[in-house]
Amino acid sequence: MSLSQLRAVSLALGVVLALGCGSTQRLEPTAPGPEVLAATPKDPGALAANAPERAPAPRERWAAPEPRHEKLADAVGLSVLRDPSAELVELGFAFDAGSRRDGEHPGLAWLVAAELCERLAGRVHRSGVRPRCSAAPEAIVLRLSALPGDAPELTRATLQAARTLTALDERSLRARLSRADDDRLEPRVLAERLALRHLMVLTFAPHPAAWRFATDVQEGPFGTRAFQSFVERHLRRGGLEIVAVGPIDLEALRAAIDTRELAGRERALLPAPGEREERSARRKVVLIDRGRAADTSITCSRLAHGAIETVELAAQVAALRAERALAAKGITARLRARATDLGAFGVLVTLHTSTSTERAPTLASALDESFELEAPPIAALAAEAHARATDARRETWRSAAAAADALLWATVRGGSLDAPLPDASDVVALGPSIEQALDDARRSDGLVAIDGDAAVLAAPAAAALGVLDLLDPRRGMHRLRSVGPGTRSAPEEASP
Amino acid sequence: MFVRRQERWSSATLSALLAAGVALGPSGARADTVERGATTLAQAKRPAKQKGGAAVKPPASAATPSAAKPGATKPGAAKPAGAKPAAAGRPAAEKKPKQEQVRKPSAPPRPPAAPARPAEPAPLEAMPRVEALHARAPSGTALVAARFGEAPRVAVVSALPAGRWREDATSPGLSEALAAALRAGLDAEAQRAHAGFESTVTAEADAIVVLSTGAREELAHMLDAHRAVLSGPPGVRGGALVEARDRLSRRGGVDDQLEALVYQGYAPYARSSSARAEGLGKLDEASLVGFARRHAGATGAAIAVVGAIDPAEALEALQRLELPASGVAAPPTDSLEEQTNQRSAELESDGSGSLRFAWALRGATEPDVAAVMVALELVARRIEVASRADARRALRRVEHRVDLRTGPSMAELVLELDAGAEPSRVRALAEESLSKLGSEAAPPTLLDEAKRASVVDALARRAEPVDVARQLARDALRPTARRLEVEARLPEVGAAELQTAAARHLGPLTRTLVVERARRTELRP
Repeated sequence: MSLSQLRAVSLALGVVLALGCGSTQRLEPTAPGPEVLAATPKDPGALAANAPERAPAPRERWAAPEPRHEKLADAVGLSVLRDPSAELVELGFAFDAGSRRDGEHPGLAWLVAAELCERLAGRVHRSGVRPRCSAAPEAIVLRLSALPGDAPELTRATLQAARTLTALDERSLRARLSRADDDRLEPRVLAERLALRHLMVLTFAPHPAAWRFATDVQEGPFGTRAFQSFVERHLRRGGLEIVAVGPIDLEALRAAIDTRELAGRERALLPAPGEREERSARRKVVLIDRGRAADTSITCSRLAHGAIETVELAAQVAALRAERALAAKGITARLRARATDLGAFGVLVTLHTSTSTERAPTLASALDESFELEAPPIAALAAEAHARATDARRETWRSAAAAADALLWATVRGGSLDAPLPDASDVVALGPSIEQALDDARRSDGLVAIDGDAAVLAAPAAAALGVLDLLDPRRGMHRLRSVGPGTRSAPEEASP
Repeated sequence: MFVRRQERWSSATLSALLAAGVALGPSGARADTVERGATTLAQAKRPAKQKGGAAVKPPASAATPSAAKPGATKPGAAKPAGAKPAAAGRPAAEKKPKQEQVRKPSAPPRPPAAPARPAEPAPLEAMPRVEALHARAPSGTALVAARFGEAPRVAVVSALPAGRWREDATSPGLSEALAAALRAGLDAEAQRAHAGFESTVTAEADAIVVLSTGAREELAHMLDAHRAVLSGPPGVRGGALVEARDRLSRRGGVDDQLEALVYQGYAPYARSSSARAEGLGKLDEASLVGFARRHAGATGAAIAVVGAIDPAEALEALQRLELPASGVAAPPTDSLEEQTNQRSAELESDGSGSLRFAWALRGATEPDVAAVMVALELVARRIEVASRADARRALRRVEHRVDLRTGPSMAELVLELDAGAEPSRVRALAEESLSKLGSEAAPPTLLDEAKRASVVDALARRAEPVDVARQLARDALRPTARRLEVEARLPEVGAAELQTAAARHLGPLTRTLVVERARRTELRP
């Protein structure tokens, strides 16, 4: 993972625009055409753009690993993927205590996750392990990478930490909230979190009755009682999914899992989605400023519905069509397409690419429009779309850590990891279903996140896309501003 | 790569997040740089291979019915689109499905829970070794192949000794320009290849590294592309020079300043990004081609193939590449001047404040570097513990790394501060911890912790075939500072060894300190 990465989101985008993009120091733009390494007859090894195109090699059949799922107690599940050749054991714990459980106290899940992580860190430090925690809407998630011999003991310690997390005294609570408030002053943190909110709103807003997304710590009126109540009701009673991938001693692992006091009385359910709203496409652009970044990362997300394997193929078709459209303009770009099963909520389709800052506006526009394109026809793209979809599947299993993440989220969300991909020869027959999935994505909200040098990107991106939802962390946590013609404002969010 | 600790907010990239489709909120603590852990993934029950490589799934085990998967939605199953939304004001979870209601707890009654105690680790074992096959092509290129991972993917990595270490006063920034040229060429090649593979090119301190990953079925084509890279010099257009200048002019900041101070007077690494960008502006394509001819040929390079492959077959494929021999320019002869006092600088930035301690590791052997790695981990742990006990905590997280490179490597300890925190308290804490390193033996428990953490981090850094290929290729390029060799020594570092290495390489007189103060952001109404 590497994650080629968002490192610092440092400036408010409003300020960036206010400063004026034209005032930023800019170098002359990169030549528009592909800068190929020209091949010469005397240099047969040189990379040759004018060499004949080749078809993708057909992919071998490969059966993805099959995890073992079992129920340890009511509302406690264990999923194990044994891999004797791995060097670390990847452990994942998902407590059904995500931020959707925050209720009237936004930030509780985050606070509980932070406290749980700190207490666990204090218990497992001798193993050289660092727990990583997050409070997603669906769950509080804990992840550990452990040496194989330590995995059972670390599992025991993790569950014990959850079981004994009872009290947070007033002073500690105030200190935590104070530190959270400090974080709010940091623009990069604010911008990142706001961008995440965008993603959540995008993904789940069509189901307004189902979820609440409040991941921001506020200085609202919640104290130790609310904290304790949350822990009792959700962390310990809400349900738990445990995932382990690597060279696992299954018996030792099972013996280490004491589900007492963690077995939920109320089994978490994925909330049923409400009636989906029919609405015209609404694009959102989130610019994330990494200061003077040389590279820009662009991600376009849409929500689609249908069988996961069909949407996977649709995602690849959208990427291929966008690549062809860019190639016609003389721009070489490789787009990565992924489809993530969100269970009852549909399938999140993402197209991603990295590029130089100068080319980012053009590519952002291309990604955003990729679902609108109708050519080339699916029949012309079938073999390549199938090969890419197969490769994307295989990538899930590229490492134990990646597999553990995929397994954990699939377990939490009810998504599928093992739906068989159709044969390449069947892709053409699936054409109508694929087009239907693309149409579905076309009509859903779209998020375009541009992570790079906003000073260079802001104006061209706004011009190229016509719409710019602007995150302005310096103006407060939740304020969004929209510019550009025909923009519909983002869903209303509470002011701090 | 940094080893990151004590992080309270998610620092995962939004792009990665979006790409993964993982909706994460702010994290309690997350180590994004080491978030990948294990290295390979074998199937729990490997399907029997049919002739021709096709695999068949075993029959579903009765013990693992898919129906037992909680909340599972069968693929292709109709989504419950018409289902009623949860009642307002009532958590959806309170409604239990019938299936869940009838399920009885399957776990037997257990005795009362034992009181909480710290987790006891198992004895630390030797670092697992990456078994690789090595050979040398007639051109002089180092060839490496290893089996790693079970998914049918493969990584090909070429390392060219054309990093900025090879730049001189007449060729500033050309390594960056060469990387840009190679990047553009590989993009075009990938486009032409359709679904073949993906490549990235990075210009590093002492190497240009070309990484390609893709389906195992595309290995032959990936090797073709790398052969082209190693058969240079490439034809280029002016765009590569412009892109490189753009990249360099955007770089800089704290990291650049720190490195310039650490390598003060040592031309290969002390030249700032802005100076390189400025110098590059005066060069043309002929300069770039000349630079590539001198430094980016196959003779001084290394290429590694790693993945779910037969290493012997892969090595044969590498030998069949028939890479052309090329001249090798003499390496720089500069030597790092002796440092006799701490160098320091202070600057303001838009990031959160930080303290950055750094050392050039003059004459450090591989065992020395292993000891330095453990020493930095140990210091980080001491600082964390002390910080936790401090009511006015100011420390956000601690990171450390050793950047292995040709010539003196660089060790770095970064203390990131809370927003608005005064650095003096943390600085005092860090200096005290650092001073203990060389003056007293590390307590056995703490040393064991530090070693274990170093081992876990090292294993997490080579989680995927491409990580391993990168390390193998770079190690083949650099005979004296091989990361895999260094990491293999981590479990063996003793207290005396650590103390000696710390006294020699992490002393106060040879360190550099950059204090980065955050510009305060004003909240407006």
